Amino acid sequence: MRNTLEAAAGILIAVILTTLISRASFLVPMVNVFSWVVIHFALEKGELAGMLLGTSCGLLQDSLSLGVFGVAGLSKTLLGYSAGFVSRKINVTPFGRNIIFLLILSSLELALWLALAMFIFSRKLDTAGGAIFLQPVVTSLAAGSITKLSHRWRRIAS
Amino acid sequence: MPLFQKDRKNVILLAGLVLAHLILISIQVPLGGQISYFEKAVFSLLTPFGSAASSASRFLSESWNNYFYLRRVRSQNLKMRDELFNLRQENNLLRNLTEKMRGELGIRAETSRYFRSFIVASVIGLDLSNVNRSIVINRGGGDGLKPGMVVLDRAGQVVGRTTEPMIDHSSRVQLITDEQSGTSVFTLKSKAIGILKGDGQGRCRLEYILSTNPDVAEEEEVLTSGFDDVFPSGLKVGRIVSIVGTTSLFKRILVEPYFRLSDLRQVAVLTEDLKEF
Repeated sequence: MRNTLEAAAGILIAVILTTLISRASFLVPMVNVFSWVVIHFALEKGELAGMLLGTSCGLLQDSLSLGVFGVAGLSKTLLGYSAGFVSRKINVTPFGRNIIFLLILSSLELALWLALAMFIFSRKLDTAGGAIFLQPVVTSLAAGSITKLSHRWRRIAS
Repeated sequence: MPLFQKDRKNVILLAGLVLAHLILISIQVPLGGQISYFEKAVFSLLTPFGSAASSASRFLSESWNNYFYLRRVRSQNLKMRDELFNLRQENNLLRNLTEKMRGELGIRAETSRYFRSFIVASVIGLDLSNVNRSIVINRGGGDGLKPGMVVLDRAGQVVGRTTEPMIDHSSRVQLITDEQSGTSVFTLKSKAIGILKGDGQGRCRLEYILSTNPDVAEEEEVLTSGFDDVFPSGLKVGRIVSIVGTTSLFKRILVEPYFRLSDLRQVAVLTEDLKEF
């Protein structure tokens, strides 16, 4: 129950932040708050929570864009699963290692999303002058910082 | 062993989810532009939160601005009182003059018609896959909107048209900069008629202008022609920024739309056909 509530709160925060960020249109290609939430929950709760939240967040992201519904859903499901699975197999707790790990994961997610979207729409997608390629960097830094802060907060609380 | 079983369960669930997504994606291909009920349901769930966040942010920023305005309000008030007196006098003179020229009833009828013809909506979201494709506004079917209605910016310049999904108090607007959009337009000076399509990167392409047409020039204004039965004729769309003559039948013309996505806080949705204007 608590996990569900936390996930719902995470999604709600992502929706609100996405709405606020969309007031500055230049930030939209770079910032994907849904990915932050998926990665954070996958690292904290494991691959099951990661993939379920990935599906929810991806479909929410799809509903906010004009196009084929399910593309972001699929890429975020795989992101959530792989983040949870790999973080259980190798130690990604140190901040630097975590950032590199998340950078690789979010780059793969973006590549998958772009490939799927290009395959479905049969045309080159707009990369907003290359700004979209900064998305993995922003995502890894943000999700890594959130995870670090959450660990610190838990240590202080306990 | 239990760990292995747990892994297997997760992999099966992942495969199920991936399969479900692939089915979801593939069933939309024959649907073309239609929106599934599932997408509509997700959109309905999401937009109230977006709308609330947008309103809260607007409220906070307005409160902040109002605070600074209040500090200057006294001196401005005195100045404006004098201005108001002068303007009232001027207004009375103009009103008398107008009433002489046209009957009062005629003016009222025209004014009320003009103000009935559109609904003001706030932009509550941009398209996450490509900001130049669509926006989400806080007005929908419950406010009298229907798919295919014309959306203008605050200067009356074309932004796009409403499209599905549309729920009671939210709807999506397809921008003219979307690659899938099409608008019938003409150039103001040379009167060349063509189809305006978005390039998905914030600009539009003016298509079907023959390479042999010598009159179309850069900086020329582009207006809606009304031939598409969606946009009324004479609305400002943008201006031509580049013309490239090709060996093909048609010229390659790039149009810069007038509306600015970064300034798009509020839009006007035309709720009735204005072709007779």
